Amino acid sequence: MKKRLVSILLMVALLVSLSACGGGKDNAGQTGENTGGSNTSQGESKTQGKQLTVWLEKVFSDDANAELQKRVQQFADESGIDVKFELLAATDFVPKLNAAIEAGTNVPDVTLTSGAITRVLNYYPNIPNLDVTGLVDEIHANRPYFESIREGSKIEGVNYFVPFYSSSTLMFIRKDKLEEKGITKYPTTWEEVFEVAEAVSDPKNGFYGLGIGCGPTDEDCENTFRMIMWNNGAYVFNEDGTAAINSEKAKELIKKYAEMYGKEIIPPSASTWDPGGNNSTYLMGESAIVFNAPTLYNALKGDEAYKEILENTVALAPPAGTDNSVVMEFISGFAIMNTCKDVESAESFIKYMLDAEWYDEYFKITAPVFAPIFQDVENDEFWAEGINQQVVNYAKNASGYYGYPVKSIEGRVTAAKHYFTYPVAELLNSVVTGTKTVDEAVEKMEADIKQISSEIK
Amino acid sequence: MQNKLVTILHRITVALFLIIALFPIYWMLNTSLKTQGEVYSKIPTFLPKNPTLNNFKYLIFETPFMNALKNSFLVALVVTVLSIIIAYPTAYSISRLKFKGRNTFAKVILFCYLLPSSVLYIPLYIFVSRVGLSDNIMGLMLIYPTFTLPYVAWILIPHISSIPYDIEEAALVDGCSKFKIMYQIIFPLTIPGVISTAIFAFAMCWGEYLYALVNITDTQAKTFPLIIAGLIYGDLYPWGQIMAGSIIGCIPILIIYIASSRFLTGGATAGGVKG
Repeated sequence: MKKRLVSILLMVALLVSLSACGGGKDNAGQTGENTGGSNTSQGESKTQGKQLTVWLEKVFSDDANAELQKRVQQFADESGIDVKFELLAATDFVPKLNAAIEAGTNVPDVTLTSGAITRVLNYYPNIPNLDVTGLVDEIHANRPYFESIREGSKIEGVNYFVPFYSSSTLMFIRKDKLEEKGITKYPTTWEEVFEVAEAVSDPKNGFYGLGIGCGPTDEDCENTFRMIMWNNGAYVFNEDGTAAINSEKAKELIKKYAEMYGKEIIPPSASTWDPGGNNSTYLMGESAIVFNAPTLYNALKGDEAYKEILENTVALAPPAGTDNSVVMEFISGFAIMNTCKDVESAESFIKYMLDAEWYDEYFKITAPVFAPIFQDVENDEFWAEGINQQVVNYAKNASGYYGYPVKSIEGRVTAAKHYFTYPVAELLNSVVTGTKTVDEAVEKMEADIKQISSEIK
Repeated sequence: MQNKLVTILHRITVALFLIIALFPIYWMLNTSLKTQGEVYSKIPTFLPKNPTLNNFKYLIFETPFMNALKNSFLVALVVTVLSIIIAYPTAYSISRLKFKGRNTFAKVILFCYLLPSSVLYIPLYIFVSRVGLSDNIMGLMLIYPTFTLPYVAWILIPHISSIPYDIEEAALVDGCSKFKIMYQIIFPLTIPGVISTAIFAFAMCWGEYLYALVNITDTQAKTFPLIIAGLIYGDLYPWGQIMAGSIIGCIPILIIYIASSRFLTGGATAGGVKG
């Protein structure tokens, strides 16, 4: 019996060892389709042993992802650099990167992520990205960025990532529903949006005017309501980084939202939405006006079932308020991590990805979800009308950020860290569900900001 | 007449609970057979209007889902077997041997099981990286026992304790060594417990997400929950594809459960000792 047991244990050990031998992934060439450059001939410069690990955040369509992959492969083939790259879902990106940074191993050399500035600020003061201001200046000298992008991607005058594209939030309107009520002029201010939403609402028949959610993790609500506040002179932060939420204007807007929710101008289910809630409500034909990235437009276009809704949809720039028309910027970019051993290759890779010829064609594939961010695209007919024009205009004019209008670095860091808890969505949720009064909710947010700020100091 | 009524009521109650329990599975299957347009329709349909296998096709032929299933299976199988091999003698020792600190040791096992993965994932990632197994399913085989081992040991302790000690004494009287008693007398009697624990340990590894997410980057080494999560690009979830993946992911667990159900009969020791 003992012999049999020992034999079994040895067999298991042998099997485990065998699979260990066959499962290694660290060597180039064993990563299959995701190791660029593996097809280069031995005589090429690949033999110089240059390696680059690149993590790219997946974008919204398989075609666009495939094109991105092809481009990386092309770079590997042409440069002879062994590029190990992975396309990662946005939700996977942060925990993976954080674990790698924390462990100090397997940190990629180059990353491409959305919401780049907020993510960089979240690491402050231990920013793991290299200063790439020189590279951004060089790219800008060859092909000027929109000023909003150039300025909006800096932290205290320094670029920690190279801007690559911009996303946007547009206002999607069911024009047929407005026409049914005799409304032919589309709203251009938030006040008009609320009025139109009330006019077209028909809750008894399950139709609602405004699809702005307030689920505790609804990122779209977080962004949209911040814009509503800024445009109407209410802010979460003051310029010096202290909390500004406890103001009459902010409270009025929160009350307005709660009132619309109570009147069922906003769908009752909105308090349970995640960021997909506003998409769903529009695709279901349940809401007349929603604010979303143009992914919604792609979804409408991509399925025959939405033909009628698509024909009756108009996508416009977000409205202005009584004070301004500042909109949230969503810049994505390439970062070089400070653990990168071959910065020169990393920079060549980024420049290659920003090569005008490929760049312009690539963003025509992703349109209108992502917009190119260079001044000369305004001359391109492709971006000159319809929803494409809207997204380029958005990129050109976006100047808001989490914490806007805060100026100090500590304030921006506080705002970035605060944002990751979706505080505005949580605040609205607590008010509409009756968990807190407006005053209590506002005071809680104020206390949270003070807490985060004290932790940073 | 009253008995008949009670039987009918029992059956209705059972049917009701069955419907409640099986409804999510049915809804998963239903969603997996719908188009994206139908999934997002205002009035949910209980049967797909135009059933389609496109979601399954996409998953199987256009993503590395099948390879990921193989990886998940390999990891879950190896970890489960290793966990049973290591946890059984642990559970036996705690259950049967009298030594100083036995109760504390038992509590430590429970404590280890209760440690949340969100606390452990970075230290374990560092550990796996240092031993050169990051981005490799071997790394997962090293990590998963941190939650399967305490679980298996903790569940096996009462199973072993429930076996009458008289059986062991009888074997000792017959000249059986402690080692033989552990593996030849007691182990066969704990088979139902071992099987049910193994199924749960397998299921824990099978659907594990966080450790796999952090440790695996290479597409070829990904487990299936990562492939399903990777289907989500933004705020428009492809529910049909996600549900198709979940349905396929359920099948191995279901097969294992059905195949092992005949071993799950309890009462093997009933009547083993005289009152």
